[in-house]
Amino acid sequence: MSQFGTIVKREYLERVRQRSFILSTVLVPVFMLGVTFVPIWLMSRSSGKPVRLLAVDCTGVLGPRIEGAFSDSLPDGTLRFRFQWEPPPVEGASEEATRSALEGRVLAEEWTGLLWIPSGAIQDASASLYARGLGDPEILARIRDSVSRSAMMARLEQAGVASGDTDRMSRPVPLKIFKLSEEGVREGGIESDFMTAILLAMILYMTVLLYGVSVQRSVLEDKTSRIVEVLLASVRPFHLMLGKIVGVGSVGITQYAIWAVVATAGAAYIRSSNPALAQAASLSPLTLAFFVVYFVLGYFLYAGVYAGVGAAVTSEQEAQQSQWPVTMLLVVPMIFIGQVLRDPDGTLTTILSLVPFFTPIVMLMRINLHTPPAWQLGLSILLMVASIGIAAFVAGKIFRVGILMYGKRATLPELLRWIRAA
Amino acid sequence: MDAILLQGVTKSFGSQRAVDSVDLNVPQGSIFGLLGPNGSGKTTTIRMVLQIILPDSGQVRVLGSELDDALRRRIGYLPEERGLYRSMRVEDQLVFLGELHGLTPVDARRRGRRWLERLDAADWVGRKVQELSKGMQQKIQFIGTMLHEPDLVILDEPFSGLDPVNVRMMKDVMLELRERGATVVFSTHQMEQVERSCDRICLINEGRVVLEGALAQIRQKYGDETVQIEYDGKLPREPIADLVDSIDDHGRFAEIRLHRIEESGELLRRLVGAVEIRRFERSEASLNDIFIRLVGGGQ
Repeated sequence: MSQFGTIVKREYLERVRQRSFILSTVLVPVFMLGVTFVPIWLMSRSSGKPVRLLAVDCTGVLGPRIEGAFSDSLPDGTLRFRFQWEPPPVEGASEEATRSALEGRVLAEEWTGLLWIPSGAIQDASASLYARGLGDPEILARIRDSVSRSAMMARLEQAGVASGDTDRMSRPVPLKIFKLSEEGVREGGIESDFMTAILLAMILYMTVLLYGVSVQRSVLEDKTSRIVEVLLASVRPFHLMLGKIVGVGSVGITQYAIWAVVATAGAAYIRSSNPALAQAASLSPLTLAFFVVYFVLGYFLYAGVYAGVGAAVTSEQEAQQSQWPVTMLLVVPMIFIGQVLRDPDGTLTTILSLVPFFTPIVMLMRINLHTPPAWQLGLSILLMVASIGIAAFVAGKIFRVGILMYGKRATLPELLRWIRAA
Repeated sequence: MDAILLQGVTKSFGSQRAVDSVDLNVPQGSIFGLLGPNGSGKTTTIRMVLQIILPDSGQVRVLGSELDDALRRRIGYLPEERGLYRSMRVEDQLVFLGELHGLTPVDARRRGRRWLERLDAADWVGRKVQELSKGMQQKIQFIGTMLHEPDLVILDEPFSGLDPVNVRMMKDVMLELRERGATVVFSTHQMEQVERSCDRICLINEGRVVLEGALAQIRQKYGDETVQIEYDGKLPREPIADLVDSIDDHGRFAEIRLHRIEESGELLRRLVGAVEIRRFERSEASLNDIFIRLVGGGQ
């Protein structure tokens, strides 16, 4: 076997055998699932606290209708929404004064809020809710719906519709959302694509960081253990660096393969139990293919830079001080996740997705949201390959000189001199 | 054929010239000592032979040609800064080093075991390197250097930090290598080792070759006779000052260079009574003396 192959083999075997590899293989999916599903679960779980509302109905008609819309109860059997109807301001009294007195009671007596239905609510005036903080957006949506629907039903009755028919006539029309793409139509695809886009970005970010820093550690270990000189007597520095990058990268691919198998099995299970959900959450093969492409490219780019950092420093402490600019590059696209989700085809997003250090995360999110033009995909890959070439060249130079420097961390001018030197 | 041939090799680090147009040839099958004080350029020279560092100018040929991947496998290198992967098991480590030099894993494992047994280290096979003492680690690294039966062995300060038992083991292996036809190059500043085992030496100081050649010839050329005495007591300086060029006094042993070696009888006469003389000998200068004269005292 060539010396390069021997380096790759050692890096791979030593890592795969480590306990930390097994741990991270198990823990990362657990963590990802946790990050994704725990908030959803917490949101969906109705809170055990009752919503207590002071309410004033100046119309004299809407109150009972509104309260009638809330019939759900808490785990202990009592009603979740509790209304206490206060008398509307008497003729001639100031609405303002009555309301501010009630506002004071909300604060003093620990009510959830004050619902104010003005007399014009059936016609065109708006109702108001003064709340101390509701937290759950679902509660807000239900109050809004019930007020609106009660007014609508009152209007229908005023127009002469029999009260038995108003409920049917005011029923809202649900809107189903389908994702339309070249690959076909998918129900619920739009919202779930938001989730998967964020999820993919997270996975990419975490693994590139994890393995990039692993390469840096590996280089540094050679240096601090002094074995590097033995290695360099048998292996060219560039091959040593490349061997480390490929070896650690293969560990990453192995880990992905394990996750993919587990995920496929999980997806098969979900599909058999809940076909609609499975359809919504499934990843297209195109997205998966690009995920692999951008992971490999992103990994090589960052691993090269991290290898350079590892060769330029002399201790773990120095490494931590010196690696943050590189890690920042990886964090930038995470900051722009919101922007990318809002406007996947916008100018800013397009530019970000073509900057090689940001391409993997940003472009992958774009692909998942709304496939960008082919030329942009091609260009991004071309730019990345070119940057990998440059990064490998520069890192190789730093590696060649830096790997034998034991004394102290290289300064920036020194690094520049190393790069210039033949 | 020369195992190593350097011609006009020069290397600077910044403004400092570490190695200055060095010419050197190491004949195949010899034991070659590379001598010089600390910081003289020995390690830099060795690193350039192995292309760990590239020279600024000059030519390096190893085993008859430019160093390439195939040639690298025929070299064994023990750097001055010893080091192994700390968390690797001893056996895996040896297999890795063997594979790096072109052995198959099975072959490397077999040879590793044989060496470990020979050096009374068979029990360590499954241990991690970090669990071993420094001396044990040295042994493991030494085995790693020899595992692939190299034709050229380069040892940088092989004796530093070794106890007498291991020094002897190291010396035995070096002789064995020469018998097999391999070439051994080692750097040191311990003259006794060089004197006892080297065929040829090269003395480097401040990046330049000060002296090179077969040990016997160097002795003849530079080795004017000196007086070596072993004594008890305190060696008086005043009474003998007019006879003496320089004294290397160790407390119970001294090597004395006279202005004229014919005056050694006079020296003995003046010393009798002043110290208890146990041995008094006119002999060839030791390498140590030559070394100090050429490097330390200035010329």
